[in-house]
Amino acid sequence: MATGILLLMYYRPTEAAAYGSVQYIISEVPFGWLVRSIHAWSANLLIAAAAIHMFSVFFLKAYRKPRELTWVTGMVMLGLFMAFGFTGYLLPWNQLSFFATKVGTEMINVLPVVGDVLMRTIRGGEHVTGATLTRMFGFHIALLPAITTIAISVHLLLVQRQGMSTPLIDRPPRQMPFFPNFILRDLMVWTIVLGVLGTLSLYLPLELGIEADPIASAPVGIEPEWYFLWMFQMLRVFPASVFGLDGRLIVFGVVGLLGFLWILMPWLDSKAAEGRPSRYLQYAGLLLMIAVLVLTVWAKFFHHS
Amino acid sequence: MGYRNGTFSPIAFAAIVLLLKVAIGLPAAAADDDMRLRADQGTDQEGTTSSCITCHTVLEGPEAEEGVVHDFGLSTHSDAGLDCSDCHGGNPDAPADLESFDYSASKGPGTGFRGAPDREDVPAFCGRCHSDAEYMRRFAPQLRVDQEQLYAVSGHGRALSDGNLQVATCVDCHSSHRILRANDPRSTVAPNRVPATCLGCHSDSSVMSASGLSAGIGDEYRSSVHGAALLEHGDLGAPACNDCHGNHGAAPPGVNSVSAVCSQCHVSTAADFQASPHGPIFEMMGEPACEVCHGNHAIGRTSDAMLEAEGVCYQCHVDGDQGSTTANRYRQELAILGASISEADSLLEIAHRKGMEVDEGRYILRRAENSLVQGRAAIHTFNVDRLTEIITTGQEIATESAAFGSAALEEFARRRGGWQVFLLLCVVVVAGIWMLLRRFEAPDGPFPIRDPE
Repeated sequence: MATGILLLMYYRPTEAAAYGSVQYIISEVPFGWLVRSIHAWSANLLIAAAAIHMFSVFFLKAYRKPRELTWVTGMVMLGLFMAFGFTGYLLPWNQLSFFATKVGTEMINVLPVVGDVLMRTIRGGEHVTGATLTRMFGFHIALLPAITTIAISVHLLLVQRQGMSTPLIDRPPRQMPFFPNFILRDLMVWTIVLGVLGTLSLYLPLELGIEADPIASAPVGIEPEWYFLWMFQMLRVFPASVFGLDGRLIVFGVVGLLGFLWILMPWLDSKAAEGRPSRYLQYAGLLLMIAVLVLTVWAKFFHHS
Repeated sequence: MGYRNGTFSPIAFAAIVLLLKVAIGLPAAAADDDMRLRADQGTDQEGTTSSCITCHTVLEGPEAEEGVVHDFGLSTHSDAGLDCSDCHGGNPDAPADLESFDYSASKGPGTGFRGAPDREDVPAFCGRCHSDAEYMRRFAPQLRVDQEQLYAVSGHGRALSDGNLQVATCVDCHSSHRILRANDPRSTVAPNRVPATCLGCHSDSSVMSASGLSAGIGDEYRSSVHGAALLEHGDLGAPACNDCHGNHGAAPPGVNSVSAVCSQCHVSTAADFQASPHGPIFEMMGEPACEVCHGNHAIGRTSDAMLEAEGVCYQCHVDGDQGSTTANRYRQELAILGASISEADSLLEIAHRKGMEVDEGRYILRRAENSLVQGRAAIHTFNVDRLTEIITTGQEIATESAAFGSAALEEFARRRGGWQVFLLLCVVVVAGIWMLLRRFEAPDGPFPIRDPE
């Protein structure tokens, strides 16, 4: 958030100036390159951390009663973090982000009834234009932060009220004081993450690429950010039409249904509430995690369109 | 055919087809559809009954994909509202007798029927309208009306008047009935289709041998930089045959006009050459300026190798003379700038791979590359001082670009230094916390981890 505020000092959310302003930030502004790089990398690490946290909560059954709402708010936050990534991706207004946004928003059009309206609302019109950029900027710096603040507050409040969950093991875990033990461990992890962030920012800075040209043909190898790749890959490999139904609609339907069941997990997993983990659900969760990982790796490294 | 014994007339067939089309709504290309509809109905562009179309539709078959009815329906003449009789005469209003095929009422004496012209009469046949300014103004006022006169003085026209009936006339390039505007991509004279049209004859040794011409120019043109640009890359700005030889007045450019032909596009290069010491010498020697070094149809991509010992300069010059010395100097100057550009480019690429923003450096480098292009073009001045001036400027720009790359690499080194300090600090902090925790959490420490009570 701090790096985002710093970027706001120079970033200009218009079709004509967006790319130039980012170029100015990384080439002229003192430490601008570092601020942008940390902003982008910390966003990626945040989503990775949230995904790991989600699966650890699932496997440790930390969502069981009375923490159902904590799980739901956590899921909402993960969705919000991904929305941050999606809206922020277009902001540099480069060729790759432009066409990825075009493809990404086109997918929404598949949804029955609301698809077209939703796509036009997100795009600010029929096509991806400067209006889309302004809209994404608005979502990224105002709407999403506001909702996220509420979600984080509720999440932390619930954690504070209900305390940390303990795993379903025979012997209760050992205990330590919050201060200084927990704080010091937290500080140690923070320092390591900062070191990793600095290393990634220096050696793997996010490339700006070339400025978006709406009338140019789409470049080869357009793909969304890594956390959307598993779904992107599903859409790529799924047949375009099955029994007359749009293949993309089927993928969205399946993913949507699984997501819905995932959110309802605290209520579906009745055994966890009784303190007994369900073996089948554990396997299902493991299978889901492996599927997401395999699809992501496949899309990133092995799919040649 | 069924209709001959009265069981299935073409009119009935046309009506059934028309009804089916209207009922089913079969999609078809608009022009084809329109043409077929008219053919089915036996009407011309104006919608009036034409016995020409009625009979020729039957002769070609109602769904024919080629033939005079089909082709004419697609032509610009048809679009302009002309009909068969405007070129061929006759009376299209006379009823068609499909039972006996007695066409005397349409094409017989007194109907003004002209039929198809003999080859030697084709230019005049077309020129009847196309040389008539008043008539042409009604349809295409921008179209030139001197095409027939130009054709008469062209290589084709002169050969035709000499009795060579193999030479191209209007219909060989424009086709007989499917005549389309030159800016229509389907036209035989559309820019990217001109080479195929011309080479239809000019690559045919049986046709060319009668005129004593080479049939190899097709391969030469296709292999040339112009042919590749037009035919492979679809660059419509690249010259086709007619851009150098003319259209209706097509003829090989004379020795003295070669540079004028090339200068239509290569304006400054031709001007440099004309002002150079070589200009008047070539003219005096009767050499076709540009062609001597670059060739005609097989014009290759130019390169600095043309200045080397086996290059074009040595067609006239020998080692040690002023020409060869100048050629060497050019080559060296260009090589120096080329090397400076490569060096700057490498530095920028290295910096880019390290994640540095180097777009401005690359922008500067583009200017140096422009200097290299200008330098190569300046060879045509045969003025060493002019070339040196351009190369020196290019060198300064390339140096500026290289400096940008070096600065980016130095900046990266500084960043790496800062990162090393930062990382060391992180390691120290983590190690410090870890040691502190070990001491705190030891069984006898102040904050041990306890088992639950």
